[in-house]
Amino acid sequence: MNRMRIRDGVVLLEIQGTYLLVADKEARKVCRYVREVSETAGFLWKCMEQGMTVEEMTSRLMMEYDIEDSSVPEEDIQLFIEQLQESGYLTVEERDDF
Amino acid sequence: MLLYKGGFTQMEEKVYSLNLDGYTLRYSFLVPKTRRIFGNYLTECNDTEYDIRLSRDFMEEFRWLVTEDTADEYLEYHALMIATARFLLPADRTLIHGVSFLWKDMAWLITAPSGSGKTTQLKNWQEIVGDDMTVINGDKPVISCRDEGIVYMSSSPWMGKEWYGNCNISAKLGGIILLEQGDHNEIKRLCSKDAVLPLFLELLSYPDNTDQIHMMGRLLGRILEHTPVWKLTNLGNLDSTELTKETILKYVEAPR
Repeated sequence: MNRMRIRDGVVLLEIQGTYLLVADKEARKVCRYVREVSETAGFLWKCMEQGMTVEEMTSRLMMEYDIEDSSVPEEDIQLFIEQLQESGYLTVEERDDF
Repeated sequence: MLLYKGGFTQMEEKVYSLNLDGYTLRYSFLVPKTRRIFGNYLTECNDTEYDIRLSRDFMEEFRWLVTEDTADEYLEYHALMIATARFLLPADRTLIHGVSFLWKDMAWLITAPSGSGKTTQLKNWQEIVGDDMTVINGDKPVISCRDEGIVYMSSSPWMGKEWYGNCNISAKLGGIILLEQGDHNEIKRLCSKDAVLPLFLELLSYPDNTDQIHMMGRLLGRILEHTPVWKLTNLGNLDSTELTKETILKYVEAPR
């Protein structure tokens, strides 16, 4: 099982209802300086900051946005994680404690 | 490593002070010739303690701002701009990429990425309103949000290739114009939300660490809370500037 980890030096800013992921000097070596993300992505980022699993994030997202079918948000979350991983904002570590 | 507060000069080195928006910063230069580039923005002071002095490594980190063969004094001048933009953040101030001028007793900021025609717009303004305007800074003015929530634009010694600017001017910011080249002239008011990303990218702090990122976010949030923003799509001609002038004149004269 893998564990998601937000890259050190990347910060989510919420400014006037806009969400930005911003990378500091070290993080900029592997990811873009600034990337605008949607409100939902901002919500998911905050969940990841709390160390939630995909399952926990799915259930929080369903509650927050009143969604009934769990398969849809789970797919969206997986896609979101893949995109963040590809762009360097997230790292995925292999866990050996299972 | 950039050296901050608590640094002391060697015997032969001088310390110079720079007034930025009523905030005095003391500099010690790594390259003695750098002092000359700052002209009358700097005052020699008797302090032996400085706020900002760059190391060679810090300077080289910003080689990308200039060309390969740029002399060391110009490299230090540009690297000091980044160091200063970062240093000012805790005081809700920083440097922003744009041209700023005083008109109708208020400061106006035109901002956009390099090569978008900011200087052309500034020249157009000079042609249209003449002596009714004063250039605050032609490239990297100081933007600040003071305790009472009022946003100011102020002079800085980083004036760009054309050296447009005047010392010690500070005025309340009336509004921001985001510039974009296009095949027609059009101006529209933006909601704050849509101005966040383009304005964030023009803040010149290039944050070193996450504390600075948070300070940039807080500052930009406060600026946008108090400042109208327009987006000008333009051909760079006088008509586009006239359109901007009429738009902000209506805003200035509107009862509030």
